[in-house]
Amino acid sequence: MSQGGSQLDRPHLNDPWWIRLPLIAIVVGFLVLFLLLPLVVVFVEALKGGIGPYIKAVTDPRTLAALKLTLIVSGSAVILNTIFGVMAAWCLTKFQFKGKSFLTSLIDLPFAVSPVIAGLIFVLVFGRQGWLGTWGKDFLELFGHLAGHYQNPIIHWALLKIAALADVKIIFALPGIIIATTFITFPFVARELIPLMQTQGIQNEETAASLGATGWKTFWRVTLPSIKWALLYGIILCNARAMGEFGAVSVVSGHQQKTNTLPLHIELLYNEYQFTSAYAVASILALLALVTLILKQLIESHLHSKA
Amino acid sequence: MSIEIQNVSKSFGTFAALSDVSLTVPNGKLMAWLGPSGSGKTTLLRILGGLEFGDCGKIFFDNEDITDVPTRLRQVGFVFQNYALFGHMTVFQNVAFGLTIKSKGPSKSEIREKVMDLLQKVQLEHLAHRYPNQLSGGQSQRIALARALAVNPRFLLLDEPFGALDAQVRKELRRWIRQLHEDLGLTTIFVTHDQEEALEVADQVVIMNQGKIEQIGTPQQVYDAPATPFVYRFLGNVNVLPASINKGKIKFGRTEMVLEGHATVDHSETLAFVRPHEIEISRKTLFHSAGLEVIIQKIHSAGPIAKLSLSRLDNGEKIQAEVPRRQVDSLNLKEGESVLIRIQNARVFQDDYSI
Repeated sequence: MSQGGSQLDRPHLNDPWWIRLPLIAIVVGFLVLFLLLPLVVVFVEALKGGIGPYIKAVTDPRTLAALKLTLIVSGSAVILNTIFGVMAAWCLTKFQFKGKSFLTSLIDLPFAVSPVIAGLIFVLVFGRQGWLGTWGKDFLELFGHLAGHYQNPIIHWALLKIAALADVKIIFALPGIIIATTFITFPFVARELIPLMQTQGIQNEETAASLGATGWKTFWRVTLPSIKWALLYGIILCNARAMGEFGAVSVVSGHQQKTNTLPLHIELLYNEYQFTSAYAVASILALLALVTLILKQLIESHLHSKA
Repeated sequence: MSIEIQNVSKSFGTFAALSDVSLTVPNGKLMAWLGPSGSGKTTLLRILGGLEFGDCGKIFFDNEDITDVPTRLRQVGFVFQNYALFGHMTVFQNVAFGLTIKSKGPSKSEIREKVMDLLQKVQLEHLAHRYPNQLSGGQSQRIALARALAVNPRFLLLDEPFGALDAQVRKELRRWIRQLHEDLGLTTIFVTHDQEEALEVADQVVIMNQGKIEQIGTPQQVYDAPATPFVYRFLGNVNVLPASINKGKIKFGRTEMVLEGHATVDHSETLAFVRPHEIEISRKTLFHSAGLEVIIQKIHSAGPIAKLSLSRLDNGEKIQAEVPRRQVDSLNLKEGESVLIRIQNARVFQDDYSI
């Protein structure tokens, strides 16, 4: 008899049917009710009025603007978090320093803080009346004042440009949404990389150094290739979360049409009793999520085949 | 390339890994650093490779002070115990790594030639396109060596090179490394906790314990004349027997023998170190009763040397002896019998002070 048979081949290891059946039924029922049904409902509701209204809702300029904003925001958050996440994981796993465990737990902070509170924090920090906002106003005044003193057109122009930097609107605008989304999705990439890089240790890097490689070369030629699949996995999870983020973005967007992402737009439509449109837009997000899932599955199978 | 280590100390927190170690590694030698785990041998190796920095002390390569030179500028071939091959690169790419990272490095065809030459040297050119996870332990070890040799290192540092291999491959690789060393003439240091390995492969053995060097010498020197009780215990089996010495004589129970040195010591209790093969066994006869009387408790006679577990008749103390198998047969020794032993050689570590 083969050793590696499945549970079904080995009835002596199984419980009787009257224990197995209810347990299986509970699990399947739960999955259907909580995972499958909502997904089906989204598509059913979206297509209730037929394909015409669905296409109309999806191609509505406001929807397309929200989709564009969502892609810009999630794209930016993913790029920023890929850079930050790799840097954080690299520094936490390849070096020894004081305060390391503190930094490690700090990475999880966005998971622990409620997104709404995160949004509020950013309003308090970056808002016009916030800490950096008032400082920015002083900054703007100072440089505007300085610019008035210089006749040289180049210096005058440069000072005005610097002053304008402080005048960039953050809260209730695109930068604020990107900052809030980046904060919320920060742990995904780092969390995915840290355990892997910990088990890999630093001997490959030490070997590369002894063969004459600089830190920069070592990172690109040795470290990055060995973490690329985990990194991709983290990026996909990060992207999924970034596209769906509601709470923090809702606070910093200020509920205006031009700063609506897809989740906010869905809420708006829903509150306006445009249910079909709301579900149609929701189906876009659901489709994006499904694509993410498929990608994740592909990468996972690749990770396993590597291991 | 000669290496000079001067007064190097290193501690990790409160643990002193190395305390004031000084050592010269002569040019072209194959040297083994031998010691139990925690003796500081690997730490010292890592300091030479620039992977760790000593708290104090200096390191010179050919009289050039490289104490603060970073790893990548040291030109040292370092091979890790688990080989640390780059898993995403083929064998060829692994060996070529050190050549391809230089901004003004050799051309592609030069690299190819050099890598294939090295793979030939380690007799694995047929594996050039394999990935590390398709290699056996012994093959990985050779590839790691070829990769280290590719950058023309000033010397080679091998951390437990045979540690992760099974017994048969170990023996083969030992001979191979010895041969490679003779072919290349490259100064090589390897770290090991296996005394047999160190004594068989190296020209020079450094025995370390608790962050200090206990003894330096050729394999024969350290085996025949251990400088400290630690070395005696660490290199092979040894019996430690309580004895008393008095003016150049040593006494075990009622039997007395001459002891080299220690002539000025007046009656003093001590511990004598006796190797199992330095014990001679004879049968008690009417005319011959000189020696310690012991009972044979167990005879292990697999192989050409028989190992006997003996127990002294006077105080029950255990003694291990090794005699040729032939002798066991010719004396017809049996478990449970009582026989006589004569200690042919004993060594005593005693501060000789005159009174």
